[in-house]
Amino acid sequence: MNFKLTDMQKLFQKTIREFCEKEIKPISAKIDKEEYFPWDLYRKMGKMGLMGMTVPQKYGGAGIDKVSYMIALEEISRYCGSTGLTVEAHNTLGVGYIYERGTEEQRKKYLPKYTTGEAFVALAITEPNAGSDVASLQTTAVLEGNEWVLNGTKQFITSGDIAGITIVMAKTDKTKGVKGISAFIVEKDTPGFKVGQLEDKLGVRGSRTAQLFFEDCQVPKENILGEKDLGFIGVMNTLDRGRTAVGAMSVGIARGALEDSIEYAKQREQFGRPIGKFQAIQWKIADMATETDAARLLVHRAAFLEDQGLPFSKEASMAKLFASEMAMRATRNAIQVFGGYGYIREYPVERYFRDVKLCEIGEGTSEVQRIIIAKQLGL
Amino acid sequence: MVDYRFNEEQELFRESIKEFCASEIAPKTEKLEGARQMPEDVIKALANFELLGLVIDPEYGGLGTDVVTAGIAVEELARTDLSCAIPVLFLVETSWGHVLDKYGTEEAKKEILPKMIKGEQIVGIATTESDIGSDLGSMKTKISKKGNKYVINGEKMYISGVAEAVEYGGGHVTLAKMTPEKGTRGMSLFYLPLKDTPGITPTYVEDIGREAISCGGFDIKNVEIPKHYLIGEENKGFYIVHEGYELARGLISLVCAGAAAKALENGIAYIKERKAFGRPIGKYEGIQFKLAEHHVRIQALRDLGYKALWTYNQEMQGKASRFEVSMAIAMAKSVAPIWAFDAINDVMQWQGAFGYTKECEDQKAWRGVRSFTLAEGSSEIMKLIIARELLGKEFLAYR
Amino acid sequence: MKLIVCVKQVPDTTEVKVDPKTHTLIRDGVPSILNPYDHYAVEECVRIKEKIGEGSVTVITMGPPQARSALMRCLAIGADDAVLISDKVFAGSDTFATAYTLSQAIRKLGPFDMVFCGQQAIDGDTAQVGPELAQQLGIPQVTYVEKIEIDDKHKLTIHKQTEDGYHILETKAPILLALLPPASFQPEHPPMSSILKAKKKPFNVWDAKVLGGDESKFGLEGSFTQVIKTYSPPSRGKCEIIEGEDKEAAKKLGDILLKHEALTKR
Repeated sequence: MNFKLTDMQKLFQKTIREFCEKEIKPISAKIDKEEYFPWDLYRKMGKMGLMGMTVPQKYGGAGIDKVSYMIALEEISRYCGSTGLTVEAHNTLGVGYIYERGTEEQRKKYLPKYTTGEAFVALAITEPNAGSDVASLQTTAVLEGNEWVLNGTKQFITSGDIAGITIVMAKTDKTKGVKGISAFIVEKDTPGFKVGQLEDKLGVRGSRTAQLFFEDCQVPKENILGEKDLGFIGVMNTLDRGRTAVGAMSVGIARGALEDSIEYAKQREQFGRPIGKFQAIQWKIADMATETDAARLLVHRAAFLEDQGLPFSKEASMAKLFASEMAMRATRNAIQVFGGYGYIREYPVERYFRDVKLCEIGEGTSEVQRIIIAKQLGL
Repeated sequence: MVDYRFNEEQELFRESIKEFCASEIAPKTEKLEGARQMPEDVIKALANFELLGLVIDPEYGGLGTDVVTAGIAVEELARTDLSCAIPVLFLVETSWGHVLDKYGTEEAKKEILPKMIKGEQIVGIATTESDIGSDLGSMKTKISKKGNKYVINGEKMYISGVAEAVEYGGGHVTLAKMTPEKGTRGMSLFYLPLKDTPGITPTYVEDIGREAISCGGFDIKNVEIPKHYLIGEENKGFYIVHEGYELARGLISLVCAGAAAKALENGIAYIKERKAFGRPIGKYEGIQFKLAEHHVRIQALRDLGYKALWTYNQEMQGKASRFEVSMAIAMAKSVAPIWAFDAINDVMQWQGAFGYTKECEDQKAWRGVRSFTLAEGSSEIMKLIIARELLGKEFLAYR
Repeated sequence: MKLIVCVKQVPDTTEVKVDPKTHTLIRDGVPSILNPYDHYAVEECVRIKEKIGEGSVTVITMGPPQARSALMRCLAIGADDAVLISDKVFAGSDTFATAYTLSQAIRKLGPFDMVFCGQQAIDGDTAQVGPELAQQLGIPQVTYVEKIEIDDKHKLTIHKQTEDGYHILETKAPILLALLPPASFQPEHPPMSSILKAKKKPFNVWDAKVLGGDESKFGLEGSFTQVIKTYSPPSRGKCEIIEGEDKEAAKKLGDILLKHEALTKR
């Protein structure tokens, strides 16, 4: 066992933290309040290699290990949940998916272009009537000559409106449930593809969430991503990676709550002393710190397993489940530590609280994580 | 409108039973640990104070009070015997005495109830078997007709009060399959005397808590009982048994509330006196906040418990529906042992290493209350009931 | 025989605290109980009635409406009927006004044989109401009564507690007895059946109008004493607790007493 980060990972962490302090921290409130999308920031991140972190360098990515990727997500999310989510979705669900499942041609065609921060890749699974239950997708893809014809509606698609390409999950064999699903790469200006309204969300308000429509949308035959009818396995594998990543996001946000609480508890005085001298506050903060650390360890373990090429699906679900639920507790308690100030927009803790709720829902709800874990335990 | 007051006789009764508990039960509690069988003088004391026939029809020697009054009794007993052994004896006899009273044959009632009320015989409940608990439909014990009698074969396990029934006399309200192919719709309930009954072989296990009431089981080999021991109609046993369980669950909620409230009082006394870092530990918010949280939960639990029994009573008078009763009872029982256990656990924590010794009274409650997340319907089953009532029977996971 | 018991509802002084500033009792949250001396009086009175085999026991109290529960307790332990004398007019009564009011009620009840009281109440501890009531009724009285025997001819043999033993007195009705329970006394706790019976017994509530009599003798107006100020005497000297084995402790005690010349060595 070794709980130490490598020198490279430490250096990476330091670099990212400095970058975030300088580039993200000053605008994170604006991102939330104005649903502001900082294109410039993403270009800078693209230059730093943050928009293709796990994509090998030969395809334009940074080619870093999964643990380092988690470190980056934690740092970014510590300052801004919206940015954390946008980066996570693009890296894991977007370019990560194309790298893992794409053909050599697809990799070469898309990855260099989409790791610059100029444009995004989105993944469209969820539909109005299909969330956790992926088998019940209603979007269809039918092969007519040299084209796949897609029909259906996708919902809650992160970065859906700003994506240059969207990976769309559709039924290619209606009789087969999950074994009849395939993935397709749909370019932005394909006729029959339309972006609907953006969602007005509780948290991660600076990330974009769109509805997408496909009406006789014709996609070239070669744009199928992975094997026909076997898309479910690919997407589930991608979601496993995403779960670890959402765990890292949760850890980042919880760390924000923790750090801000410590700072506030030292300054704020009541009954003649800093509130940090009261056990009730001390214990809350001690719990936050302990749980945040525990969650981080779970996240790093799942990423480590993936780096080693070992099975990590159960560990990824555990990391996401525990990290998101503990972050919910931590941010709730942070508001309590701040008292009235925690409840107003002037301080960031209420944002942490709203942002992190997403982590209990997105990329597989807590309930689904429990089901996955139980299944892997042989139940 | 809501009226949270007890009526005058209930108030007088509480005052009186408090004194009874202080002068006649409290001195007897010391010898309860490790007893593995309820001492006869305790049963007699309960009987002399007329507790064993509280809810039974006066025609059979009872007092015919409502079940809320039984709740008062069991709450006070739990405050006195923190191990919960005496409360268990009381609630079992009350619940299954009530079932006998409501569904038993005239002959059986005349034979059994007066003796139970006088403390000369025990009435217990036997549904659980070695391999089945919550899933009653899978039980193996069978009852069949033979001329003018019934014959029973099978076994029962994890049953309270076996030694008492075998030694002092009495028996258990027992559930068995009569028409096995019909599952729960083919079960019958009957009274099975244990003392000197040919074909009954008792075995015992040691519970970790409530040590003064026996726990065990019995093999049933070709045991014959007269027809009048059948309780209710044939094949209706599954439904009747739940009426007893519901009453028992309501009473258990108040056992938990009583034991935990008493433990909290012990805890309050302790944290006022015990000093650490130069002041009573009750001055630390780490302790105060826990105390406040537990107090709120135990008070809420007490209200849930009395509401459950009150609803049970309303239903007996045709003024509440099955839905209301099942919901009220399951809600109270689902949280009662958990909240109570948490409170007692923290009271032990406050007392430091002493809390972990057998000298600490509260550890008896900790062990005793722990049993109720399992006994008379587990916490999980309570949640299933709540969800069933909220979603409808078609959503039962195991259907 | 017609027997009457006068009782009082009191705060349970084992649970009562005194306000350090006003020196009055803090009654909030303190349960009210039947004065234990009166409890004994009722139990003894019921026992006498059962011994005689006929007659009735009426229990009376003066107090606020809540005092009903003390009377219910008396009915549950065997009294036959109860009278609650309750009216705002009676507020502030001292022992004299209380005795007068009780005597009015007893007269209104008609001919009687014996009146029982507790020796004193645990809240005020005056021990005056019994004797004053006997005076108002014009009947003889015995105080500090522990035990009463009655024979077939209704002759009473009374065990009166004294500092060094008992006086055995013989007397007959009408008489007022103020009872003092022995140290071993444990109040009877009525079971539910007795409580249910009590609910069915006659219970009367009389206000000043129903009671009649001289209104100027009721309440604060009829009281000769008034509480001006309550205070705790300042503690004097210091207390020392001697610990250790009996013999050793006794020796230490002896030494101290000798030192202070409370004892002299022979």
